[in-house]
Amino acid sequence: MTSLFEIDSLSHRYGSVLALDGVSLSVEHGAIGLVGQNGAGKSTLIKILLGLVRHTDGTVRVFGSDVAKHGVGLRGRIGYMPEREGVTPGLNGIEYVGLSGELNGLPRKLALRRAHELLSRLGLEEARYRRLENYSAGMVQRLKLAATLVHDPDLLLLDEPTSGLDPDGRTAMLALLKSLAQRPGKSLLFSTHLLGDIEHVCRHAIIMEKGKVAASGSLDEMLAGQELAFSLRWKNGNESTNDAYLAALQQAGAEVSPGEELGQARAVVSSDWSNQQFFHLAKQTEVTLTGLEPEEVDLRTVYLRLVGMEAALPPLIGLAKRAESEVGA
Amino acid sequence: MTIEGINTAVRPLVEVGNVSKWFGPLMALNDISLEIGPGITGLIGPNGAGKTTLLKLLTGQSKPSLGSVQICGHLAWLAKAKAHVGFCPYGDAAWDELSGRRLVTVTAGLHGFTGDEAKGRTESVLETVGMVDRADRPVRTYSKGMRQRIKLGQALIHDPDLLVLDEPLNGVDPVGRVELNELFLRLAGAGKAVLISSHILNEMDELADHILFVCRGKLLASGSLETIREVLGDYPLKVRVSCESPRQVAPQLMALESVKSVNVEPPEDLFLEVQNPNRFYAEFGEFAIAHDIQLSRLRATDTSAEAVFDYLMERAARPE
Amino acid sequence: MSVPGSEDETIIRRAAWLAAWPIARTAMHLVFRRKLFWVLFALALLSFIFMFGAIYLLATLRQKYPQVEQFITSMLKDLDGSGTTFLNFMVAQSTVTIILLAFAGSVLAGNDHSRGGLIFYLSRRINVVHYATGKLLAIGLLICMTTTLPALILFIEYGLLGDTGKYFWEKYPIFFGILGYGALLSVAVGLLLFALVSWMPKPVPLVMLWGGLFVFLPILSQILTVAMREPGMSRREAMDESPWRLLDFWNDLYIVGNKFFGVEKPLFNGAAVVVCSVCILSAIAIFVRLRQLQHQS
Repeated sequence: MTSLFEIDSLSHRYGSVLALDGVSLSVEHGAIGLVGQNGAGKSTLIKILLGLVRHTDGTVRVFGSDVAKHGVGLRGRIGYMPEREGVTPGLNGIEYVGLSGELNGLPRKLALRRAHELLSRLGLEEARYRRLENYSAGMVQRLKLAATLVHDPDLLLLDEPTSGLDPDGRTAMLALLKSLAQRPGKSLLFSTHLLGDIEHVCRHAIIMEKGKVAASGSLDEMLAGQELAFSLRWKNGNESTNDAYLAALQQAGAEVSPGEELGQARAVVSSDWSNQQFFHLAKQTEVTLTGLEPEEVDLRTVYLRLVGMEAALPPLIGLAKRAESEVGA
Repeated sequence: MTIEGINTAVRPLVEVGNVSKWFGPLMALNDISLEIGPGITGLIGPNGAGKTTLLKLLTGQSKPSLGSVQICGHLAWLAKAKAHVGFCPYGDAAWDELSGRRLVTVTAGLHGFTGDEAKGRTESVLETVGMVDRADRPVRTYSKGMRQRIKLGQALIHDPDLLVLDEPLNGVDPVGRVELNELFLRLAGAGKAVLISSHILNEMDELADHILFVCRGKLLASGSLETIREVLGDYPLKVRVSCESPRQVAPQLMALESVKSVNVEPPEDLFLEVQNPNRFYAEFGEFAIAHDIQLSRLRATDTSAEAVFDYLMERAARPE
Repeated sequence: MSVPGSEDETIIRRAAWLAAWPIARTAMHLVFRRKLFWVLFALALLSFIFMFGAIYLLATLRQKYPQVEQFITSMLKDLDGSGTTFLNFMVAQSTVTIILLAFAGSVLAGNDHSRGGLIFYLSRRINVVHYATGKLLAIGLLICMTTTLPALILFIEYGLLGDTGKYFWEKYPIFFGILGYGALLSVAVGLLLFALVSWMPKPVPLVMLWGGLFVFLPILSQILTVAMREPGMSRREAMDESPWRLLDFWNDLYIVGNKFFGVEKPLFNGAAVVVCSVCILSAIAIFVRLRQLQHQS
């Protein structure tokens, strides 16, 4: 099976701006996240993959075919869900999705039939004859997704698909995207600023910075934490017991870095350390341990480190609270 | 029934008293009372819950049908109150042919600052939001993130006591998010009340001291995330424990009084439901000291803002 | 979640060119969804209904009431079934057609330029050429509906009501004349409108510019013709021969259209040059703009 897309020394200049600078990537099928600052080249990359922009240098192959030559045909196998509205006012849901199908080469009857089916599956059955102006934000996102899926593309390109959705809507959309990505032979490229969403849905990530690829690979590899590092959380602490606990840990041989709030820390221990000691020392210094976790680096930390901005510590489990709200129920 | 946490001792900047708001037959807000003080308050709720209406009332764009909204002692729709409020709305502002700098200066003018003072405030505000060297191009060429920063600048220009931010990080890249979140924390630390309405709940975890949960026009919960979670007593705390031989450990944990149920998930996880969190942690501490179970993880799994939101939504869906 | 069609059907794709029809159909759909257009369209057809009735009356009442014939022919000149009848009808439709297009222009194509509509089209399995073709087809069809189609119906009516066999046998070139002139109108005016809409999608500026082209320029051309005519030339001659008349685009189309009916008009060469250059420049403008937008959005 050919790889999903192969990019070789891709550069793109637009006016005086070098949007992409020597990008080389080889990506397999699956669910891939695309991250980067505004202006890092993400949208340019997506447009080039779609064949909408003729790149100035290098080769780009999608499904094994050169995008420069077969742009139109390849778009038949790709579905694009833009961030901006992308809707023509005046149409109703069925017409919109049906039109999308016809534009992708489907005969009218088939396009309409699939439009009906997709809108039902996405929960828009009742609203399908309503005009697009009357759709809520969440409905618009699902509608755009339906228009993207109508021709059964092998690659979905999604730009901020959870934009404007409330928490329930986001959860539903992410679950849907995850299941879409798991179908055999189908892939998904997901561009967003919400790194948590990528961790939820994708198995691979591409991080772009200033027109270059800063990192690319499987999330598991990127997020492998340091062994024997733990995030700790405890309570019943005031400043003195806090410090006492940290000191005790330090003395017992753990390297501790306190967190931003009381009751949080990161500890790096040696291989002969027993986690029981955390509890022993907690009891000694009269604090109650409420959280112990092997360090899980998240994508945000990886990203920030890559672009040169060190967050103070890897994110800690639990809640960041101020002392005043420590209250009984 | 509203879940309430205990208010902070500081005098509230914002007092909303028994406010209801109708739009024709549609009731957007139903008898809401709340207080907001310094610190970061998160406003969360599903779409259509009335959050936007509430924000409009707080910023004086709209009057309540019943009840009153007071900012620093003044009714919210009066100019005196608006001087204390900075609003960063959701959509894109108008006048995008102007440069960012010009836009902020014009806003300063709207608040009554002129000449050198306006210029000075503009520069310092631009520095605060990180746009000093990028503010000369017209706003229509800006990325979403840059527009958000300019909007924030406009909201901060008159040094308000209350900042009302509607999805302020919409379209902002990860680095920008960290920077702006730090800005909000600093502003809150300086004594301002920062009200953030957002759907991105995991960021609320880290930012908000105080949460307001609005659903279908009602205020269903108010307090710190921890307090709200604790008060949701009918949802026992879910705790995940990872150790070497979970099956052996399971019955031992069942023996603990605060543990309600134990689910074994091989190869190494135990999922507990716990009745009394405080009691549990103490008991577990003793247990861990007494038995060496090669523990690698102890973690409460449903205390995040997302989990609390789900519980609150579930509760809201139940008939009263 | 399985998407319908992925397991059991292989989707047979049609050629990309066929996508032009759905684009045109959707554009027309959007136009006719608005009540305003039904009103404008009705106005556009008033003249047609009038002619239809006149021909009918002429044909049926000619024998019995010769005064009626005189009355009608005095009101409508050239109602003699020759090519000029239909040509004049189509020319006379200019005002209503221009008005209709001024408002329809934005709906047909302008709305795509806001809210990311254009990227919706271009990110499917078509390219800018197919998109433009679809839109031009929609505009062309709209023009047909107010000029070519009614003219054809009148032609058939005249023939049917008169001496059918003889009429159609002798005058069949008129049929092709109507089609040719109609095609010329559709193509030339269509290209011009689409070019303008691409650069100025908002309705109000579009209407103003369109009005400027089709109202202001003709008036200016008439003024200049009369003012700059050579001494001794009558008004009529000047109208026929003065190069200032070339500023009036609809008139240029009329002059060229006359060729389809076998009538040679002075200024033909000039008019042909104007029409061709407008078409070519419009086409260039369209593609430059669409390419630009494709890169931007």
